[in-house]
Amino acid sequence: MLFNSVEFLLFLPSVFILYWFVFSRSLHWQNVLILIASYFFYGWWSWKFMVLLVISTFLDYLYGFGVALQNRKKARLFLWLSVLNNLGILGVFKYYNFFALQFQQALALLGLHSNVVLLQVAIPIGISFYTFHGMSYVFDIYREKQKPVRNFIDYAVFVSFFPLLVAGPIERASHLLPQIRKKRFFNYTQAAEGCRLILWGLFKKVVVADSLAIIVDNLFTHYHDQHATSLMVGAIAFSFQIYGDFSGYTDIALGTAKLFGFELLTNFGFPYFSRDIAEFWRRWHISLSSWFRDYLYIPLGGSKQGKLKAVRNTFIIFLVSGFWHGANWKYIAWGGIHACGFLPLLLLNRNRKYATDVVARERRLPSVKELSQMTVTFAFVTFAWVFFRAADMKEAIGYLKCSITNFKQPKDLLMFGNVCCYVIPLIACDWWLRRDERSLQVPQRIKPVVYIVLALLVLFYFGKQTNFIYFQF
Amino acid sequence: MKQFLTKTILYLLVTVLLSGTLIYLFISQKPEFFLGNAVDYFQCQYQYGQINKKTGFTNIIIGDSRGNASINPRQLGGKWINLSIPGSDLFEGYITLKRYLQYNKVDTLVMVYGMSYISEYSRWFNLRTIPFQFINYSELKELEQLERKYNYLFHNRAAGHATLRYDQFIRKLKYLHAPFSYRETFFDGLHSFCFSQSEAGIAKQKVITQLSEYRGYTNFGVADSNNTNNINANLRFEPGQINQHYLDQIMQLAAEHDIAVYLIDPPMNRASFNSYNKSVYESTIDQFLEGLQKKYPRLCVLQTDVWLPNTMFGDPLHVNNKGTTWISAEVRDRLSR
Repeated sequence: MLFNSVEFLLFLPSVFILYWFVFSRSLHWQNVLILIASYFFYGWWSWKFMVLLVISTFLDYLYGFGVALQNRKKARLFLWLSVLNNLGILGVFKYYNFFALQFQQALALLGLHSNVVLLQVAIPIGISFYTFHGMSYVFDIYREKQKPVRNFIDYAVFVSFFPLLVAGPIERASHLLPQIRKKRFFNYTQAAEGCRLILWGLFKKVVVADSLAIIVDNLFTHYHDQHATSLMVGAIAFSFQIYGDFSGYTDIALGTAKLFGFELLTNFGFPYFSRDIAEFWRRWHISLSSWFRDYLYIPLGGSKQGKLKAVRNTFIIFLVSGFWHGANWKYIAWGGIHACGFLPLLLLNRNRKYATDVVARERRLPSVKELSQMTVTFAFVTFAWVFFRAADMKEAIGYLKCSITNFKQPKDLLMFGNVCCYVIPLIACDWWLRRDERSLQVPQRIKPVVYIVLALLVLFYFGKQTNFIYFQF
Repeated sequence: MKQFLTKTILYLLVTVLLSGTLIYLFISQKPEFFLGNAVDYFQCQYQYGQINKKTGFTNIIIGDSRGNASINPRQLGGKWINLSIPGSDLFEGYITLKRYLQYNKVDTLVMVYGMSYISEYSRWFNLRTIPFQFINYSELKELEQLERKYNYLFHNRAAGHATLRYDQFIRKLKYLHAPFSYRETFFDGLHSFCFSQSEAGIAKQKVITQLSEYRGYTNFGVADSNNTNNINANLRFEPGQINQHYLDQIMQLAAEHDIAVYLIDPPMNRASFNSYNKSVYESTIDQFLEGLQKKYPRLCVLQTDVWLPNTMFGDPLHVNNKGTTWISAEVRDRLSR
């Protein structure tokens, strides 16, 4: 089920009414309802893959007890079993075909011809997200940050809570499980904030991202025939498309969770106002970056074991992060480009320079220096997005080549105007909201007007039901 | 909770009512922009106007856009008018004849329909006939009954009884200009309204001048076309059941009013003919036309050229003025025999 579908518009109020009016007295039954709703939500797309979700959840639940054993050898064994199990699921469904094809090509280079067997199944939606949920739970127990949960329903809700099931944010057991096990009460402020986030998320997805998608798809399909400036505008448009799409999804997820009394982890912190790549990664897909930091970068030694190891570890997490997105060289290249952008900052010890505060917090506008820093960072990120968006490496390189050589083709000023229509309001709103931590608070007088205008725009654009980009991961 | 629900419902209601009012106002004031393509709207409205009034022309041509393009009534004589409606079908053809007969006498009827429109899915019924309200409500109800009888949505196979009813309901909302049914296309309309008013005005003038000067003939330009209208040669031609029903109705009207009826399958360009020639599609169309001739003694299938050179086409489907001159002359000759 998609957040931007009519089905979800019927599903959400139904679950909300049952949750607060029928099962409000019992925490256990509220959790059971959420679990059923979550499986229904997932099964709407494919009930067959729901079985995989159940198996994965059940195994990690059991491994949780294993890694909590006092005997550390046995605990470690269970930890590895859990890792193998989760990576095995990912390996089979997401990466098997990629490795099989690479193997075939490698053999072909040696002059050996073979026909590898490829899996003819779709990648289960949200597989990368729920396996990472399971792994973080097991890791936290192993590190004694979390105790195993006895109640299976509670654990299953943690893994499959429908707002975050298919595209995150990737939650931590220590953050979400206590909320699942604590009695929840309806809170007007929280619910109203949830509605505002859902509205804002829908605006970003349905109005901005889906409209830009039409322009971007056309430019990437016919890049040979486009003027260089159009291709540059196309790359910028994709930067905002993916931001609108993914942060829109996250806002709807966060807002939906708030309606049920849950607070999920923040996933975006105005990433395009970052002043360097390190700051960008502290603001983009925060739950994934911090997951890799906590469960991969730090266990590998982080930056504490000398510069050389820090460089190695940086490359590892960026490349793995790229590969996490999909079994394709273009994602690995995308991760590699970001690693290259991060490297100078790491070597000059400037990677923690903008670790906390958002740009120009106390001012209306950024300084010239800040503006130029943001522009350079955005240009770099946009360049890397071309690899992410293109169908493959060949198309990415072709696109970039044409965007500096195609000057004879006609310019498309109308397209440029269209992109501005969607991008400028989004930047302006984000700039205005950046100090308010996503609450979308507006002055009391104009509040109803702003909400109704946003709702009208969503209503007029609603109905295309395009998938969220991150669903494929 | 009460406060939350009240506020949420209030916001939703205001949004829905406001959007409905906005769309309704725009549709009622500027239907040409909000019900579809402005040029189509002007062209169809002009033709609808001709159909519903006394014109004095006793020989008529009905058909789809290829009917508009293929025959220039001026070349056939002083008593001819082309009442073809772009994207139309035998259903609209029947309505055209029925309406025209209310105000006029008809001696000769020439039908020009691309065969694919008689069998395949055509979206124009939903994009023009319905939003532009060519038919009246009782005619739509009549059509719905037929669709239920055949479990077949006009121009489209229904996936079941429930789907058919649902699709009919959605279509009815569009027919009634229910604001919410035009929600998804509202911004396209607003865009055209804001940025294409002058172009639409010029196009309207051009379309109406052309239609009135040439009595319903539409000039598809002088450009040569080398494009192929891809024909699936392995496809079997099967006329839609509803189209067959309305062909029966047309023939019944023709018998009641003693009208001579001719059917023309308009020519295709050379490239299209290459894929069509000696195909299953060709033989099944021939069988269909032969069958018609036997079934309706009053109907004569006028055999014109099956194909014409690319230089006589303005686009893959429609002949240009060179092609029109050729076909019109050929039709005039055949009719005079």
